[in-house]
Amino acid sequence: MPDYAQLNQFVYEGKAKDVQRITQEYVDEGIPVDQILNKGLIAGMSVVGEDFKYNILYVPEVLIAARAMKAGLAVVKPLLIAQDGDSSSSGTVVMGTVKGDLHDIGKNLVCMMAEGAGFTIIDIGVDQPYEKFIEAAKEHKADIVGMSALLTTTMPYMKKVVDEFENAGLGDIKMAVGGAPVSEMYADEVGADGYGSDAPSSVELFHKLCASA
Amino acid sequence: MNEKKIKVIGDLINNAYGRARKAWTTRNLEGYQKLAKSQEEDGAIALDVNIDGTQVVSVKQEEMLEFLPELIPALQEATSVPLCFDNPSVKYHRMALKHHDQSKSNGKPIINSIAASRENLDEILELIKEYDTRVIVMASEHFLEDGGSAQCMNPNDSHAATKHFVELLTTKAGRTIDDIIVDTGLAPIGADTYCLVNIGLDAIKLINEDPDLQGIHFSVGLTNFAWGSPKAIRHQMERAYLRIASEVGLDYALANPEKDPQPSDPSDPLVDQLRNVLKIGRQQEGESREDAGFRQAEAVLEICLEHIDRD
Repeated sequence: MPDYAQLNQFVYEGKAKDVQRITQEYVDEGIPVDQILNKGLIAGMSVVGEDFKYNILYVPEVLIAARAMKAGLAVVKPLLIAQDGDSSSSGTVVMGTVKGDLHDIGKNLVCMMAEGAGFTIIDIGVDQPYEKFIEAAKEHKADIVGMSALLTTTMPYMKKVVDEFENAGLGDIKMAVGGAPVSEMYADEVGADGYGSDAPSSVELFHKLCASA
Repeated sequence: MNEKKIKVIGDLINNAYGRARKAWTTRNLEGYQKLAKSQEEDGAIALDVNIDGTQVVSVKQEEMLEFLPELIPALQEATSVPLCFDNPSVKYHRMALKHHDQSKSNGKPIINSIAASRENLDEILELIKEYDTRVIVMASEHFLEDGGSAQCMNPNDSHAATKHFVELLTTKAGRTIDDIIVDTGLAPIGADTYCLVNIGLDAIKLINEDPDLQGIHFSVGLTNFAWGSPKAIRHQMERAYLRIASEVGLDYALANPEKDPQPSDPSDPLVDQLRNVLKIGRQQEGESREDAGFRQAEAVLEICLEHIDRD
């Protein structure tokens, strides 16, 4: 019987080598890979997100846990892809900070945690015009586009991006927004599909959006 | 011993702070005046004026533009310390400058900031010239040949962006090099998956060594640095950073003047610990920035755990 609590704990403590070793052991024992991923790795990382949200963990600890998570992911990912195409990924998310905005601390954290949660992340960086969001979304067949803005002044550009996706006939792609001045209400106002108040909630949102797709 | 002090641009007028948020929600001018005076007493050489929204309070641009005509005179009534208008939009600066009375200030106002990605650069250059202001240049993004802009991922990009802006500001806006303050951007040391802290320090050094740019100034937004680290050592870490950055040329910081944002004494063990963290966080041949960032996080955590009592 796999000891998922132990694997969760190793992810939580950021013990990359142990995570990798145990993940490999479970794979070798013939335990279903998607189970190892969900119950062993993702479940561990989600506690990390939760504890960071409540100031129980510090930000370097989140990074170290993410690295451990990735070490496990590296073991299971090729197997999952071999098994059922690219369905191992929880979904593909194009992430970027909107035009005029250089703030990327929050966006980078969301990228890292979402990757830890099994999403394929395409980070197009800061200060991006809608054309770049569209280009990346098309190229990588994105399920979700995540936009961030830290300034009241740059926030309206989110609406522009949402509208341009509509115009380009890409209305099926889910649009998620976040950033300090952004709110649930604002997300509705600009026609986005969801709002993430911080990194862990954004990852939750991505899961929700993919489930509803 | 601190041979050279960091000039502090007080950052308390910002809705990220509870006191400022309270003053904002009730548009309480006295509250703002109190914040201005106390920062002056704590040694701020300029006061940042940022009334933009945050996660807990949403602010529309019209609301900012409506309030500036009241806020600026009220601040100038309370203090003669120069004001530093903090917003990316030209409209904000135009409104602030319109209601700013230069005769009441003991120095030029500061425009915070201009950057490669901003629209209407010509308009802001005109304002800078017309009102004879100083200016903070964001050197964390640079101009691309096709006319766009991108984030600086190495010190040379920051240097190029600085050169570009110095050229614009001296030829088109009548600025001297002393009017220009460069901000290379500062990432949180514990979540720096793009190696930006090292890149920023290297950029300051590179720009500072350029014979054509002698006399230029440097600033960082200090509160970013220790974000996500334990409260108990946050400010000590910031001071250790200021020690290291001042050695390569940093002379200003946008910071909370109450927390003594000055370089720590070189004998503070945290200075060498931080130097070591930065060394560990340098990207090696053949590894990703993220891998270097993870290693840096690990080194930061070690320091954090040493300084806190966790249970």
